[in-house]
Amino acid sequence: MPLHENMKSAKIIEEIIDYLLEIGYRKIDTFLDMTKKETKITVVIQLHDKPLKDKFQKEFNCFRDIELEEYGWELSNDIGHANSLDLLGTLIDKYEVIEDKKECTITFHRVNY
Amino acid sequence: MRKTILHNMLVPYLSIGFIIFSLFLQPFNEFLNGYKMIITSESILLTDYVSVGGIGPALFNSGTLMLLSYLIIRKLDLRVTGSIFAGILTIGGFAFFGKNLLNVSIIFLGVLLYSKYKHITLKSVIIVFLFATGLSPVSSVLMFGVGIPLVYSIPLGVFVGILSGFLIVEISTHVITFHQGYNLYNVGFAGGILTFGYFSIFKLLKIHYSTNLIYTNTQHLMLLYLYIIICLVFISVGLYYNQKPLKDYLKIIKASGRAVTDFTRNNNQPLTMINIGITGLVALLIILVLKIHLNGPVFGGLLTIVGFSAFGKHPRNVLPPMIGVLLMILLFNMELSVVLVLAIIFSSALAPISGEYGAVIGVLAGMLHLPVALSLSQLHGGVLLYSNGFAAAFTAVIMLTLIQTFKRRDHHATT
Repeated sequence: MPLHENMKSAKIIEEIIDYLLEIGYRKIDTFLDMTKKETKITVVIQLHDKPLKDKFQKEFNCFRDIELEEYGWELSNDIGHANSLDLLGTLIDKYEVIEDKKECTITFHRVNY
Repeated sequence: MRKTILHNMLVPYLSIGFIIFSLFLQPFNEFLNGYKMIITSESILLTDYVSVGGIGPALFNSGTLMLLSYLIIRKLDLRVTGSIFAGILTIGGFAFFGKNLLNVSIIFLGVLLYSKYKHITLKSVIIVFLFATGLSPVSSVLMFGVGIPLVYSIPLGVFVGILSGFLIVEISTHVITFHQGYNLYNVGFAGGILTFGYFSIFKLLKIHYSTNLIYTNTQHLMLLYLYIIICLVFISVGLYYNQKPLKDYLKIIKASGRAVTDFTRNNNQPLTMINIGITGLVALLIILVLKIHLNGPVFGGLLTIVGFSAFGKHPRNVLPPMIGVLLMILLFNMELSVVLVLAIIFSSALAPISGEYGAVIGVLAGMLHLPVALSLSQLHGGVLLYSNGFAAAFTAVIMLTLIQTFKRRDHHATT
């Protein structure tokens, strides 16, 4: 398991919540599922007629770099800037977004190497 | 071919080019003697290997260290990302004034032992592995610079070097939050803390050594042409392999450069190579305008700018802090010594501040950096090569405090 795995999982949740609050979402649930194989974080956002999927997919660049992750995982994203989700992207292997009229569900996966 | 070059960012070609070129610059005996002088040098700030061993051995030292680092990267099945490129070029640059095969290997061993001890892959700490070599003089000075018999000094130097590599990983990953990524030379800050501890203990134990100011300007033209060629090659190869519209280069220029910004992501290597060449030439322009001669440290410093141009630096964000330092030098009518020239070059560590908050703040950051750097250089006793990186962290924090204090309202706040 990578170093500081618990803290990194907490960091991912903090960063995504920060981002969602900043862009105006106020009803958010998070679920964390840590297994030996992977860490799965699911975020469910109540949309209230404000779609999220396209915006999120445009802004979120998922590119986990193991070497970069250890170096900079403790930094905070700079909300409101073009690269505001970049740090989050360095911590995630893959993700899925499912959206209907009422809610948007984003699932992040971190494989334990 | 395209894929290979984009994956290695020309690092092996640059390394091998340095090695081959170095062999033709002097008779072989002279070359061997020069290289031996470099390896056994105390390597403390400021020791120009071009002066110590000659231009050929210094180039060979740089080429071999970059090649060694590249081979380790390949062995770990990693591609040369922006951060790794910056790390390798930083090793290559400082191999002109402080890093050599002996002292770098000792630090490498320390980081390797840390990864084994923690049961993690070396891959996950590879960035610190590369940058940790800024602590290399600690080993060299203990082995060859404190005047105790080699039978004691060598084991002591090896032990302290390994210990440094072992400790630096934990410090580096935590101290980055101190300056929030606004100092690109984060390991310099971490190393500064560690070497401050060492230097204090050295003083307590009455271990004395003197700092150096050894340099030569005799190879100015060769280093100048070599540097220009390197920059032009990066621009040419970048243009040749680029498949994106050139206006996409503006995306790089618009980035703040705050750590951790890797310009090579999303198959952006060709545009990154263009940025590497352009930023390198812009930095050189300042040096030439000031009629500064290139020596080992100045050439090495410029190479680090080339390296970090894949990991946060571009012309828009490096110029303001460099100009800021220069303004302070002019304002206080200071003599343009090598130490001050290095402060100009390495003030570019603060590039993210100008990238984020604009040129004026960037210039102010540079102005503040000079006195901070000069004061803090007393704390580590010359055993830290990243002296300006150490200082830049403090400058960044002071600047960020001022910015946050005087900012009237958070412009990102929701209404």
